[in-house]
Amino acid sequence: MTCPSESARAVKRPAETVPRMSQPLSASCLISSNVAPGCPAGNGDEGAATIMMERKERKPYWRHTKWQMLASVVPFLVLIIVLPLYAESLNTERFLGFPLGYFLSAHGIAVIAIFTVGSFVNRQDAIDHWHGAHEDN
Amino acid sequence: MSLTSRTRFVNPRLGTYFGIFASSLAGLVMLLLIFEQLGTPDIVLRWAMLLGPLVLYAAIGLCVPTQEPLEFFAAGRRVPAGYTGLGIGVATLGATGMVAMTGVFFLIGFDALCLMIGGLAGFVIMSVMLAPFFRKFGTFTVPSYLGRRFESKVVRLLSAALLAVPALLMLAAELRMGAFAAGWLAGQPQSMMIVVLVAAFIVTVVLGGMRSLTWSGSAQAIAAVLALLVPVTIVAVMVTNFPLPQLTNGPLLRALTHAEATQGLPMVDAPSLTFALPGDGVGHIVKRYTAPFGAIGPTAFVVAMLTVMAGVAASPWLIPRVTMTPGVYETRKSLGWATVYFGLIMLTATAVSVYMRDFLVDMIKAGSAATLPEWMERLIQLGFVSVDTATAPLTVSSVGFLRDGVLLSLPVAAGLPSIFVYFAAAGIVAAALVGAGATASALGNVVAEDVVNGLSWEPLPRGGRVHVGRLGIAGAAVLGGVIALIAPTDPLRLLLWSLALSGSTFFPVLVLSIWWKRMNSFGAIAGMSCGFAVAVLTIFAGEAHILGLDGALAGILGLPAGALGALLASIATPGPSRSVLELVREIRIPGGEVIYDREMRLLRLKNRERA
Repeated sequence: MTCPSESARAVKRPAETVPRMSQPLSASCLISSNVAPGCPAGNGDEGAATIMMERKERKPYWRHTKWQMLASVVPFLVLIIVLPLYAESLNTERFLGFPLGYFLSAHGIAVIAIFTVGSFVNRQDAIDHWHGAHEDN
Repeated sequence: MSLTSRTRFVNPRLGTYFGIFASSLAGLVMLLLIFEQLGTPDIVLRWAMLLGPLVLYAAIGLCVPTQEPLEFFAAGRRVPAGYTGLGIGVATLGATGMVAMTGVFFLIGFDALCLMIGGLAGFVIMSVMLAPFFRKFGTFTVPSYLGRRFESKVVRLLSAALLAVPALLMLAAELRMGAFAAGWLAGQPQSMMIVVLVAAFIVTVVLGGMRSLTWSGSAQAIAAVLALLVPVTIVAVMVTNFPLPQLTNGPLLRALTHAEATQGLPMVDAPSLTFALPGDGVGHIVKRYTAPFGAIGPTAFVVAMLTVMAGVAASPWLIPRVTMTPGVYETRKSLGWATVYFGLIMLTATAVSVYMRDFLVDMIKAGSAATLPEWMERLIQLGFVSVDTATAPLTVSSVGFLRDGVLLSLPVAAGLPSIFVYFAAAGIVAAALVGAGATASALGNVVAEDVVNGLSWEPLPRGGRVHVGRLGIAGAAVLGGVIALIAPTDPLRLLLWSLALSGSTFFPVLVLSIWWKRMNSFGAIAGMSCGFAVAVLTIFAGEAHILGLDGALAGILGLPAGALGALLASIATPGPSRSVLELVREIRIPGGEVIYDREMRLLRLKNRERA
């Protein structure tokens, strides 16, 4: 299935349509999110099980997560490396009284970093919800 | 049933509590302002400003004792994103970041931005590539995570040993910077103040562990940010009529640029790998503020930025803080807040340096060495400035500033009451406690969890585990204090070495452990060893002037060495087991139970069945 994070932002799946797993996730009790058959189970919250995403959703989920990571990190890294190197030529222009090169390298990169993390948080959350990988609310 | 709720555990009264703290602090400052006007002896005001906040921090720490391991090591996983971000943002560069960075901005201007940009990039990388996955795993320390991820006790013990070096360097840097401010404030020797700070930290943290550290650390971070912002904002109102110093110093900077040009301050072009960061003594302004690459060459600028980025992103004392958030989503948000606070602190530091340069340039324009203004006489008296009166006329380069005294000089130069200088010094002490606290507690937790109990996957019994944690934290703080006492090195240099070492050692391994399933324990061992060894050798070679590369740039060799070691050793050896592959797949999914908590729960069930 395809899920560009753009559409994930726009269309959130209703909770009841999110695929849920019916089989234990893993071979080992210790690494399974569900309490697998044969694993020790207590009463109350000691034996609590959690619902997680379907196994077949893992690959598309991780593919979208990887693309989101690249989309967040690569432009930011390119920007912080390239921008200061051109600061001197940009300093001939002014913005709010600041030399533009200095302003973009200090205030600009700070704002872009905040924007990058903020947009990552929203878009990754949308991807989590789309694939049913999100935490319970 | 919901096990990973985003808001379930968060105390709704936190805002009220910290509002009360902030009001108490503001009340203390205003009370001391009144006492100052009434003629109270200066020494009483200084001690009150030092001890008053320390008592508040200790009271907060002592009010949250615990015997529960989850509370002691992870504050019950219920620290909201804003508070976690505040702690991380202030602890990243700590007092060294606030004080030394202000001085460095003042002395070399634009070139110091490499450290600020590196810190911001570190948060971006941490939030996207590392922290959410570490939070899903849920271990209290980085070595615990690496040991379990690679199913190897060797990896666990090795990472614990390698972690100690950068952590102790950072701890010593923070204690030295805190002792500088506390010693200046109280008029006592720095060595004595190191002992006082270590004692204050132990009293604050020892009963509640990370729970105490989180809440007292949040109070300290609030105090540090307020102490930095308040004097600068007042100066901004005085100078520009607008209380936003970070954005309104542009016109001032424009005038400053012209004044620097008319006073003949040179435009310098540093060689590509030059990294002439001012030391901790008295330094002179050697270049124009906004002109790039006069003290730090362009290549060194980029390398320093990437080194700091990797060091911050993989800091073994910052990453465990995210395990205290209620969930993965909150972890991501917390790094957003950390970016906001860190950016705010750094932009405020740039504003302080611009205001101070402006005061200096105005003074030089107006007078001669024989007729120094009152504020300059006061700064000379305080030991923050030295003026070469032999040269006439007075120039920018004939005035030397103590790098770490620039932040404290601003309220004096602006003619504010002494209490604002003392408040700024108390803020530096608070920031030092945040930085030192984060490092000492992370190191103490590693000692308790991964060294004392390093050969077993089963934790110690509940009571013993917490007591060992207390001893570990106290021991780490004392050890850091001893190093700070016997190694009088520039704190900023210690911080940069620490970041270079943590980045080279842990960044490649932590990133690959999540993003490359094929990586195995051999790769982890080789990656950490190569990165650490190459970084240490580069630092030594840099200090001995062998390589022509400054020690702070050790990441240029350490990071590729660590990455190559991890990749090649993993490829050359058998792949990881099926259970490890399944574990990695699970780390990547935010939902579901916290992996470490489930392991502990199943262990309890197993022990119950056995009993």
